[in-house]
Amino acid sequence: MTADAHAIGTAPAPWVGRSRPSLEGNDIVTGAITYVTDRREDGMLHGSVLRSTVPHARIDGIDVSEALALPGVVTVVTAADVPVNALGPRDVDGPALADTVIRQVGEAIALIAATDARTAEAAARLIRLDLTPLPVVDCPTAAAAPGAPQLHEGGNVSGAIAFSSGDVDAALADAHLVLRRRVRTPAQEHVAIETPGGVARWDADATSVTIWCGSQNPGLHQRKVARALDIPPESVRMIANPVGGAFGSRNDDPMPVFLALLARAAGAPVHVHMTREDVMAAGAKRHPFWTSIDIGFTAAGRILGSAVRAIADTGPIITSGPNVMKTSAEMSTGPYGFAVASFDGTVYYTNNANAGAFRGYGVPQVAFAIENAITEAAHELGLDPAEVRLRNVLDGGDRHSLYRHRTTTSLNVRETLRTAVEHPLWAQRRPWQAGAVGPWRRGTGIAVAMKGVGMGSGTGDTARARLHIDDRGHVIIWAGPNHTGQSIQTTYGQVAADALGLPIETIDVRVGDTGGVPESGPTAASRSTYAGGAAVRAACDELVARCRGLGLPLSTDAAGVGTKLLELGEAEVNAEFRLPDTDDIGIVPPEQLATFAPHRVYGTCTQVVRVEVNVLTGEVRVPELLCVLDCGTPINPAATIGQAEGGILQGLGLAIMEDHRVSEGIPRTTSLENYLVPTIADTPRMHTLFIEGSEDSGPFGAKGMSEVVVVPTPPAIAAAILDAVGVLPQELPITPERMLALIEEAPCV
Amino acid sequence: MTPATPTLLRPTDPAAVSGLLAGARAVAGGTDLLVQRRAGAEVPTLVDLTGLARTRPAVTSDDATGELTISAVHPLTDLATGLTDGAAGAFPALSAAIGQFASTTIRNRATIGGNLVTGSPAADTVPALLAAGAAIDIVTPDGGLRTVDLAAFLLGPRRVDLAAGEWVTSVRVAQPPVEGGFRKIGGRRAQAISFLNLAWQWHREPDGRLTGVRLAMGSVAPTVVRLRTAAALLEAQLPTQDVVDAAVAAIDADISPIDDLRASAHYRRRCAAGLLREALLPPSGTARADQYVTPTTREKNQ
Repeated sequence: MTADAHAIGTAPAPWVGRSRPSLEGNDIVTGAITYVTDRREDGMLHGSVLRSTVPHARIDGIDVSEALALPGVVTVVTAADVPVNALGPRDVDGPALADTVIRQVGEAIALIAATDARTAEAAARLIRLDLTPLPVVDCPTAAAAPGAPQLHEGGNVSGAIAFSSGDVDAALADAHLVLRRRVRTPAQEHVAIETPGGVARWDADATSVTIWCGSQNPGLHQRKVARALDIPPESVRMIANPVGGAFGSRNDDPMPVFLALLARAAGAPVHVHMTREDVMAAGAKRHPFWTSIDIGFTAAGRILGSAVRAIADTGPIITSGPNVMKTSAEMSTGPYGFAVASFDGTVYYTNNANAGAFRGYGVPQVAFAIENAITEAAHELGLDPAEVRLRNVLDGGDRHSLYRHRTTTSLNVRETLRTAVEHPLWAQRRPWQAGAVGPWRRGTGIAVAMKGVGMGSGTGDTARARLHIDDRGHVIIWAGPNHTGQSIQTTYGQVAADALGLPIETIDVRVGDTGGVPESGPTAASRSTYAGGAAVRAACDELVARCRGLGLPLSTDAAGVGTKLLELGEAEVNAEFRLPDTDDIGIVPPEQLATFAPHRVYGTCTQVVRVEVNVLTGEVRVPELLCVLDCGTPINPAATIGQAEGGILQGLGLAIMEDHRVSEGIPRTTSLENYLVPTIADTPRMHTLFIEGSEDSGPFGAKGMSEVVVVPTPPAIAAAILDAVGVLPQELPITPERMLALIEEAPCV
Repeated sequence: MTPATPTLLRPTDPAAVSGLLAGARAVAGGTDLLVQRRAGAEVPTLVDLTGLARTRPAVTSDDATGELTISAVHPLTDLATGLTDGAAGAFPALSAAIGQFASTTIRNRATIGGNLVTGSPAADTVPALLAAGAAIDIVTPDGGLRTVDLAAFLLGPRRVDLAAGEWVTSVRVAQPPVEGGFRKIGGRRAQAISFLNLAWQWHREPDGRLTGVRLAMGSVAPTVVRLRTAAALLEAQLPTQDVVDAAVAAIDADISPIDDLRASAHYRRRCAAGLLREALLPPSGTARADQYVTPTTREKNQ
């Protein structure tokens, strides 16, 4: 990853801006690392989960006697055994284990612990269920229909959000061109390499539990476990590290609760590790969306107004549904500035796969609608698609088109676009296109994206860090958000080394353990480097200030300073970083600020992609892609490029192959044999460039970027297809079958 | 949950195999069997045939006739080498099929024998063999040999003419012509079960006419099938637009695709037409380096 070999040498400082290999990288590639699911404890039992095979049914009885009688079975836990059978404070959060009704294939019904995994699996098959089938709500339309079965007491609407900044119809009446389009984006599976699982150990004397299980939000999981077991949160220790990937899937995951319930019931450590097939059925997905857009343009391509309406399917429980739609609402105007906009989004409950947090969090869905519309408008108006975007982009400090709030001055969509346009991938698109051979037509597309960093204004979003210096001058920092595969602790260490002016080897960063890390919120919303890094920086700055105040030479005599601070009882620092709200909330009612949660800080990204389309078979190949990032200071550039390339591949999968399919409530894509994600053979040559920039509120000028990179890939690919064969796909994924149908409807020359 | 681990026997003497197969099941690369086991299939004792590979070459060519004998127990990687290293003859369609088969790691394990006996209508090596009119050499339980035409060997989805205790030792094809190829359409560019695939071979006469036209297609019928009608329309013809159109239109007569999770029957019919049309495009010159591919340039200090 590193062009300059010297850069990863041993030069003391600065560390920020220098590529640093992931601290656990060697252990990962040699297999030496012990993931939470690799953990083994003395006397450990093995658990399994009985999951529903039907989408909707009333539970009339559960008979576990045969399962319990199987030699080797230690305990069977059903809803009746769960002290507080809930994954959250609301009915719609769902139960830990199904009690009176099953609402999804894959829903957990019972937990089994046995002396070995095979026995636990066999016992699950011996549990007798007495079920009465109920009618299946298999799509949002069915959920909204009069007389539809109601999946919750409050009905089938999980959440709704609407906002308008003015009269869009009036604005469109003056437009030279009005497009009214509807796009569809599928449910997408995270496919984190490690499937959920881990180990829990119950301490009967202390009535406390320790859980080793991946989590993007160890504090939230601590509270969920405490609620279900009806014990105080301080009696729950989550150790959520190391874990093999997340992408959102460890936000809503009930696995820590299952592990704790089993360990408590068995009185012994219990290990559970889900199969890929279990995850395909039961794990949360990206919300499938149906998004409509009405958008008007002047003849010069200026946007006059847009109205976006979105419908999402969140499956049977709420998880992240309304919060995802909140993010969709804010990003429904894309990275563009224009006069009038409206948004109206509704999230429905169904008996389909539960949907939850997924990298991008509601933005790829609406971005596909607006970027496709801009692509089509440029085509219709005879304008360059990059130029149309340049005529409309928000500049730093501009007001947001929907909420009219003030954006950060670090926002620099324009420079990402300019940089992309000057790159050979865009500049040489016509000669490249002319080199097409046989049935393969070539096209180049461009798309832009913007995504908020952190939870948004009014939410009180805060990250914290705790720092300790010892008498050797070594520093330990406990910080969050947690590591979920991106090796955030490597980045935190770079921030700390530069902030403290100490050798990086003397700084030990610990993440993911509620036993040490102060509450810092989730690894989500592109906030970890920005918010966690800023909290680390604040703790370090506080130590430096403390030393300065005491006249102690930290950078030249860390051991002596540590010794002195220990004597003084001043060797520990606690600091927090509260993400700044926008300094002007625009037309959002102040009392509803958290309802809409407009952002101050955004990361942005422009992508240019080349595609080849086979007009005889409908195949789409993506040979090359450019990603230009506006992320402020890339603290660990190689890690940032890695995030960009991984995000691009998730966007590419969403664009051309990934589709978690459910019909009549039954998942049809059940394994990685029939749910396809990109392989290295599908991977384009990727170029990631950073533009100059700095976010004042972030650590050393950094802001988040890990989600925004997913967003432009699908619309850029769609735009490239339009350039290649003259049709613009409106439904993802663009499979060969869909592509060929589009070509045959509108034959190209 | 994967079933209990079976006993694995690994004979290195071909004569010993038949005796071991009683009550057991033959396995070669195991790339299909592992998937079946994960889905819960119980398998008895396994007799691993790959130990036989060291007793013979991957591919041999008859000096007099040019007939190729292809080992059923060698990994595809070894067959690809055997077909290109000059020692044996070339088999362009099979080489192309192996090149598009699954992934490097799978090709290092999977065998022609396994791909044949699993009886998948989507098997990627079978169309090339069927187009070439392959004969299958089967060792019978008494240690004897019987030979069956591949077209007769394929009985239906996951059904082949192989009795208990029999195993496939090799596959023979008449010397293939220099023009041949294979294309598959899948959900991605590696590690994907074919939506459909096509293998072809023909001689191109000095006047441009095609002779010995043989076409076979997978995933469009209960077994891999020959496209006999289309081939007959091309036989001894110049592949002009009219001839190609007629041949493409005739594909429907020989296929009976179904809707499944991977693709609809309608798409399979449309794409079958597209694949044959593509195969019949005039041969393009040797591929040239793409001058518009941008060199990967990481920025300084990235």
